Amino acid sequence: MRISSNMIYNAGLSGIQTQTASMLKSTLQLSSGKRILTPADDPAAASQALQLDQTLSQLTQFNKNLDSVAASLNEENTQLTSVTDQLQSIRDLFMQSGNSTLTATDRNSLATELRGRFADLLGLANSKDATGTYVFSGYQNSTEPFSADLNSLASGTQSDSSIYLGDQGQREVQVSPNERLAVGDAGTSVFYANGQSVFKTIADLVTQLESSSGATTAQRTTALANLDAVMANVSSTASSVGTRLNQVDALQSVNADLKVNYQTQLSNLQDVDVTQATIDLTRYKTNLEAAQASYSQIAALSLFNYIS
Amino acid sequence: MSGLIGVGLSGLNAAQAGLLTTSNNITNQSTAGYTRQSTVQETSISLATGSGYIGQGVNVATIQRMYSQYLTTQLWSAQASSAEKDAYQTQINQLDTLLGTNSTSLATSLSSFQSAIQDWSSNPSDTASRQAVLSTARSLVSSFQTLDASMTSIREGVNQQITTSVDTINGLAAEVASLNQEIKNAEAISGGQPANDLRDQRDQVLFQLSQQIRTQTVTASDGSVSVFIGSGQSLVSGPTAASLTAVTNSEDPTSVTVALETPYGSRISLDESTLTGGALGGLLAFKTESLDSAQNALGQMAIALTSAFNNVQNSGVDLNGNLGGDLFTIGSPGVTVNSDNTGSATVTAALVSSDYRLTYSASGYTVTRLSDSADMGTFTAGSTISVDGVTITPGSGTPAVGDSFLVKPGNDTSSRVIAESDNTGTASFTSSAANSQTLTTSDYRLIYTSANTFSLTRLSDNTSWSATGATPAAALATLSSDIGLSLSVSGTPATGDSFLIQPTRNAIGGLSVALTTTAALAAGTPIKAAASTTNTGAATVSGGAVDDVSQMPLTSTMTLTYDSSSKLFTVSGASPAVGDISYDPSSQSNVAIHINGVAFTIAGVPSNGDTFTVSPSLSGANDNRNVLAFADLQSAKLLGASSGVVGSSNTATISGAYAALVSRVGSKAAEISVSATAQTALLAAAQTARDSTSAVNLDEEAANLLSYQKAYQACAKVIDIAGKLFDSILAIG
Repeated sequence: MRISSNMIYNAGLSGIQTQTASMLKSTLQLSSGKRILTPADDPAAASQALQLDQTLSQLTQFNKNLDSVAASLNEENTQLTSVTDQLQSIRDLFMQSGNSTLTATDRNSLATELRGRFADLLGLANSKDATGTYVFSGYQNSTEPFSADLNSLASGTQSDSSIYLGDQGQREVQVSPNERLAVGDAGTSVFYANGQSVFKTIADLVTQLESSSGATTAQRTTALANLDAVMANVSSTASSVGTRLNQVDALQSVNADLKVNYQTQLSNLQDVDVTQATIDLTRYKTNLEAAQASYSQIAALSLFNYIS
Repeated sequence: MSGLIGVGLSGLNAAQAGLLTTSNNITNQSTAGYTRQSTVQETSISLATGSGYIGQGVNVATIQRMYSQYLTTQLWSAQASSAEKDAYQTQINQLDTLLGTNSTSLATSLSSFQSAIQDWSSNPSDTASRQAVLSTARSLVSSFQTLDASMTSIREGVNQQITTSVDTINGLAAEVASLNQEIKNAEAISGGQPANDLRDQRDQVLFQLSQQIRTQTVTASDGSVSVFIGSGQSLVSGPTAASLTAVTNSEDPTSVTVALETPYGSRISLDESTLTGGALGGLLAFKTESLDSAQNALGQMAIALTSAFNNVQNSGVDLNGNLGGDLFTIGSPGVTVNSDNTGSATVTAALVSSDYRLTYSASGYTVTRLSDSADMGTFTAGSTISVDGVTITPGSGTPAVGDSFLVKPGNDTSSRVIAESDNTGTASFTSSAANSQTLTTSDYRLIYTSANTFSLTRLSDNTSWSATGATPAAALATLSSDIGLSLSVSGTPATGDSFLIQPTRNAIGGLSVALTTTAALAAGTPIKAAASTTNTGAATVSGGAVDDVSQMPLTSTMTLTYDSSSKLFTVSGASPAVGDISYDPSSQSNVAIHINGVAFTIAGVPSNGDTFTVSPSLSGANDNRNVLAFADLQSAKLLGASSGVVGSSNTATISGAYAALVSRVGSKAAEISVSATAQTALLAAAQTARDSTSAVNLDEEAANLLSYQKAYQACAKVIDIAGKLFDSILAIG
């Protein structure tokens, strides 16, 4: 083929330009730490990386949610333990009230103590968690869930169903893409059993103890049965809280594994292989030097050099 | 002797011409478009004598260019392809970088918004959490707007460059025309000798023209070149040139298109798809293939996202006890009336986001649009119902008078049509997806083809539909389900009138966060379902969700009382009244109940007389049910369903759709980069082939220089010898 002088210049120049461009790309990859500089470099991986980024941020959020669920559940657990202790001591007082040797004074002092326990239990039922949210109010947060007055409750001027001002809602928090955990339990599912509240049970017994004849065996048996049902309720709620706390632990450990896994995937997708990029850079540099050297040698050749 | 001098002189002249031509080659070695020249020598006519023909020396017949028309045309063609890909590549790289850059990436602000919602679900009444939701919603909006504005500025840049390219083409075309004339004149003066330099100049101008647009050329016998573009429109014919103008598209005023002004004063619109090659072809192709669909895709995402969030927000109750107002506002679909239309009609395309209620009476199903209580007409049982671009098809079964169905096109396929729990008939329906979920990234052209007939064409793939009705409006309404929008017409269209419908292009222009106060975010659900504390059975009630916002808030508490002998619930306190709902615990473990716009589930075995209540719940500050519904949208597929197809489900989440857009633009950029590289190589090959024939090689010219020098010296020697011979003759005397 006939070669024109321009062809020699052009070939030399385009070789130099190609090598320079490759070198620039390797340099950019190394300085940014990314293999994919724009999505065009690897469209499939770029799109996957976007999705993984999203999944990772979701995972971080779920971990945050788990922490908040754990805090609330631990709080509730503490409250439930206190409730159980309180109920246990009330039960002891109930048992004592059956002692046939009790005088009216003894019964009255028992009733007085029960009145104190009633107030303590009411306080526990109205407790708040660290964020100021009532633990046993369902979705309601503006008023205390329980507003009970022992005397009115016993006399019937306050109906048993009206003392609970909360609702039966149970707030849930998303803890994995398809799992929600309930936080808190509604007052109705903790303090009500056998169709009546524990407060009504105590109030009734207190009034009966304070009456001149005292509580009958039948009244005491009913009261004890109702109290035991509430205690069973509290215990099953506590065990459900425990189960949920275990779930939190399990999810936290699964999420930790997933996070490492996703981060590895993401890194494989978009991070530069430093060794490879460095080797590439060296190779392009060598090629560029070769292209420059050969161009300057060939361009210097001319027949005119020999015509004198 | 005088013959000898003459012969020597002719050689001297020829060698001189050779030297001049060679020198000209050397000096023009780096002149763009220069074609090396050489002298063509021929022997002079010999002198006939008795002893034969005696040679009379040499004659320079012409100076010719070392030129191949074929290789030159190849070069122009390669240049047109390469310039097209280069222009395309420059533009799509901008788009690629725009979508891929982390700081402007929509994905980041989408994540932050969704994280803020998750935080909010842990603290539904906390002002700081609510503020974070509003702030991240605003940054999400601004991410959409930044991307959209950047795309608009790319579009403006492209329009600007189209105008520049058109100006360049006009200048070059005029130059070709004037060179045609000059070449004709010059060659007439020289008695038919080729005007080499002018021809080189014209080839170079044609080469530059190929950088702007692909051309076809025809050389006439008088040496003039005619240039054609597009599908054969004449740009240059002999000494006259037409010109191109970049004009506002009569269909879409935001777009610039190209028309041809003939030298005779008429204007011809050029079909953009035929203007290929060159920078102009690359710019036009980028605009229609990549930019339009990318910007539309962004609008499509914004519509699907805002519509879904608004729906959830509308179904909830805010901190003030009010039903949630819209969280976002969004731009409406655009319809542009073609400026060439002769009729007076305007067309409206509306994005409808509403649920519908079908109520059966003896005369058929009355359809009510719930967002504005509009009566959408009455349809006979068994017929397909088509309203606002949504298609609702009956299944088997027969309805009973009073039966009612709630159609929620935005729901998943399985829950798009909800039968009221006290229906006594067996009818059922399936529905297509909501407007916001079925929009495509394409624009549409609507043409009034003949009386009462419209045709609709999806521009991305040229799929078209046609409908005839009793009136233009009736014809148009039929096409609503094909585009997935509610189409209506006012005024009178004339045959041939056309309208450009851009369902998603303007969406982001109208995008904003509508809420201003944190209290207006709806975290709760306006109803609650509860079991009575005095129930003795083990049945539980769960859920409690809103089906039909138009019936919220409830005006009364509904009480369901179980009758174990008839195995049904009677409902009291409902307004409007609700019939009995059967529930047999021996065969059903739970029942999902849908009455008066609320939904809840009763499970387990109730005792006779057990009661369950559904009541308004407007003050649950700790209620996060609606926040959880917001959070669910993160993984919900919200777009990609087909319009007008019942049971067609969505295929993509918002973040998935964004990733797909990034990948689509990235793939196109990669594809263009590969073909640009290939075209550059082809261009280099074509240039090499042309240069191999036509370009100057200095070594060769050096050799020629020496060769002509020797010839000159030899001819001078001939004259020298002739002189000496003459001297010898004179010396005799």
